[in-house]
Amino acid sequence: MDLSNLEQIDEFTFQLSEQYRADMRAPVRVFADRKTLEEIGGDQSLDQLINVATLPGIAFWALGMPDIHQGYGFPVGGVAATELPHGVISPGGIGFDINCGVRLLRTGIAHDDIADKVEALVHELSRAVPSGYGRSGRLHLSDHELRGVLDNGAAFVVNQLGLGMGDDIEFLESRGILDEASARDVSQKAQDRGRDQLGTLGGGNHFLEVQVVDELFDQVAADAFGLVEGEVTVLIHTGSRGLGHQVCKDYLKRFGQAMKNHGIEVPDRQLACAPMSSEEGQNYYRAMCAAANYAFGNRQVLTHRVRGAIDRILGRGSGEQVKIVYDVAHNIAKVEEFDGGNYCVHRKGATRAFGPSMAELPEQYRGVGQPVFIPGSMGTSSSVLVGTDSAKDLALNSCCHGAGRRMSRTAAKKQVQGHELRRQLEERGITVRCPSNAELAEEAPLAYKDVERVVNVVTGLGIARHVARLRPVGVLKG
Amino acid sequence: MSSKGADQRPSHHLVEHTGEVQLQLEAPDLASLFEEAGRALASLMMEESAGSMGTAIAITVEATDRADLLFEWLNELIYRSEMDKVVFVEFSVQEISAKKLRAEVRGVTPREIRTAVKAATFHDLTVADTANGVSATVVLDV
Repeated sequence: MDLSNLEQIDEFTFQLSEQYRADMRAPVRVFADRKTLEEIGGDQSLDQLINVATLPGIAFWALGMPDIHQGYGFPVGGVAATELPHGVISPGGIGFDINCGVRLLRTGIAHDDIADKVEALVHELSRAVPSGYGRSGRLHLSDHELRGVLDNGAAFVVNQLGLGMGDDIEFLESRGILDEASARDVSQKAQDRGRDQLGTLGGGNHFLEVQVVDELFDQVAADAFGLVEGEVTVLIHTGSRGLGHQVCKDYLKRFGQAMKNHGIEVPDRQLACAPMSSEEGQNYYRAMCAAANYAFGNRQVLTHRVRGAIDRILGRGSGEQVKIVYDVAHNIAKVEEFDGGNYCVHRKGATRAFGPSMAELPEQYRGVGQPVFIPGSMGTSSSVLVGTDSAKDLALNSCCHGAGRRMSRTAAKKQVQGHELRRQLEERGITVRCPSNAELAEEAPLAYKDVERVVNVVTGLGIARHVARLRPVGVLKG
Repeated sequence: MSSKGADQRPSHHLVEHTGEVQLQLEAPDLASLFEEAGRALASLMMEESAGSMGTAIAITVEATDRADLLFEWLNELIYRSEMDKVVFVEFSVQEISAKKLRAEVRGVTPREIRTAVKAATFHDLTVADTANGVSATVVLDV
């Protein structure tokens, strides 16, 4: 779109008035610097954000994070809050991979002490963590166990399946359980897809990365998060797998009829929605919460497997030293309070970023803020940030979730040979395990925006502070 | 079946899309369009197979219109692939209308899954008549 229609509010905030299109119900606001904005203007992400601004009940703005890019329905990097009780919930505002998210583990092990074992560790992780599409995750849940995970999330995995340690759930967003979840609202097809996928990574941009804490920028927050320069961390990126995909598909279909029942029209059928107060809206919300619980459970099983692999390669007892820094969702809708009212906050490719005053934070993080993880692209550094109280008014308690794609997969493959990228990464000391060179090329660094620019925007805005940079030494790609 | 596009061979290609995969499909008639959609999905998911062709599976999907039918067809193939751990490569549409499709499909076990396709979306989903037959656009979440 023509970027001259955007009004610059401050150095990193650009706004499009709700007068721009007759069906808009709120302005569009994008966080970016000039160069990033030019990249954002190169695809349909702003047009998609304008469509989001038409959703019934939308309040404040349709927000675009600096890593925004074209998706389907919502853009990736889009945030929208609808006013409850009657504002809508849209499966398209969450996506097919419900509660796709990231979990950071700290090992307490110095990289210098195990540098010669990283390759063996990545190999062991590739054996322990099933990746790729549709593969069995070795767990095969009974009906009772599957319903337990859907209704009770990570707590069920730790307490009933025995896959975790005592205080693991303290360090998960929402303690790894969304109370409104109901397995009864999840179709049999969705449950069938989820039965043998708990503890699997999945394909696409999902990954597991072994990293080193390369540099600290905020010692107080780093101390609270247990991050020590030179020590090894593990970042897990995955979601609710086929179960979540099926929940989204099921309710997109059902909401087609729901929109007719409630007299709702949207400019993109992928934005199908229903009032949160309606029966259909509540059914989807409970099913989405159940899928989100499954994703928290999935990352919990993977954490258990990472501990096992570390134990086997780095010595008995070393797995027990692995602690969770935090686990954050980046495809989810949650009910949150702003200005004394309740809103359904959709985050599609965006991270919740709570400031230090928020009561939900683990006790150790109160007064500090919520960890926010910004994975880099394949082979580039990731960042740990911390949410600020300013994020509430400025950004609906939200932050970016990654570097953000700037190039299609086909374009990336034309410019990068997968085997050449693999060689370059290994020359830089990064061990890579990936099912195919073609998929590796699709995730090449040049296909993504510069993650440092993205981080500079959110820290410049004051919605997060930079805490640490994490350098990859091993990558297991899904 | 319509024969207005008898000279046109079914084809598909990828349209540039920053985040996902957008498929453009063309075929002489609706049945071959849906078969081509299945082949396009297979070409994304797999480079080479291991093992022999599986037995035929019957699939029936119903929908409100042709675009909805394509959404249902692709998502059913994705669902069945995931459940059966196969990639479907042979498609025979036996009955098709705007609201119903009945087909037989056969799959192979992939050596590796190349692109994991999560779902077919409604975004920019179209099925339209053309001078040579019928065309469709669909965005896949990958």
